[in-house]
Amino acid sequence: MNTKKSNDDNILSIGELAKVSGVRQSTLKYYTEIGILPFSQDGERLIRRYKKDESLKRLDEIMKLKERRMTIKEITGHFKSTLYG
Amino acid sequence: MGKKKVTKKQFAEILFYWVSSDLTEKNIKRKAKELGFRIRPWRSIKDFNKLFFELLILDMWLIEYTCENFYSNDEEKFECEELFNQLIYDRYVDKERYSYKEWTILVTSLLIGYDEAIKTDHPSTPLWIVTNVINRRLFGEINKSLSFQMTMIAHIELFIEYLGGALINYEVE
Repeated sequence: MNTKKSNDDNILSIGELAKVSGVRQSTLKYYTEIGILPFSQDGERLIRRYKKDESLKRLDEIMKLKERRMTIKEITGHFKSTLYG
Repeated sequence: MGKKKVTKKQFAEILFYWVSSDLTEKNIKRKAKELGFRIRPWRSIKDFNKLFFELLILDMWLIEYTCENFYSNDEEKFECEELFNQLIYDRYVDKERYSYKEWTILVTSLLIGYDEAIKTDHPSTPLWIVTNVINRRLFGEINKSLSFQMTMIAHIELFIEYLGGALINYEVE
C-alpha cells in the first residue's frame, strides 16, 4: 500500500490519527477547525500534524463529554474555559 | 407551502423515526426472506439481531449520506448527527454490553467500511461494492446471489429517494 508515514511515530497525519483513534477523518477535521483538537503545521504546504498521545487523550476527553450529552458547542466552551479560566 | 422549521433535536427525532419505522420486527422478517437470510428457529434471536444490527448500521450510514447536502454548515451537521447517534444508543443499544465510547468506535469502524466502498470505482454502480460489504458481514463471505445484490441496491436507492424527498419539507433552525 502506498501510504506516506510521518517520520516521527508520535507525530501523525490526520489519516494516521483516524486509524489509531477509530474516529473518522471528517470528524477529526471538524474538531480541528473548531479548535478542540490541537495540531501543528509544518512544511511549505502547512500540513497539519497531530501529537499522538496528546490527541488521543483529547479525543478520549471529547468522547467522555459527549457521553455526558454535552453538545459540540458546550464541549468547545468547556475546553476554552479550561484553557483560559 | 413553506418548509417546517424544526430544532436540531426535533430533526434528530425525525431521523430516528425514519430508522425505527424501517426496522420493525415485521420489516426485518420480510427483508430476511427477500435477502435469503435464514432466521433459524433454534437461534432465532441471534439471527434476527444480526440482521437487525447490519440494517441499523446501513440505515445510519444512508441517513448520513442522504443528509450530507441538507445541512447549511458543519456545526449543524455534526450536532444533528450527534443527537441522532445518541438516540440510537439510548433506544437500541444494550448498555451492559457497550459503553457509549465502545459503541461509537464500533459503529464508526463499520461506517468507514461503507465510506470506502462507495468511493470504489465500479463499472455499473459503487452501490454494488457497498452491498458486497453487507453481503460479507451477513454471510461471512460473499454469497453470490444476484437477487441479494439487487434487493439491497433497491433498498438503498429507495431509502435515499424517499428520505431525500421527505427532508425537503424541513429546515433546521
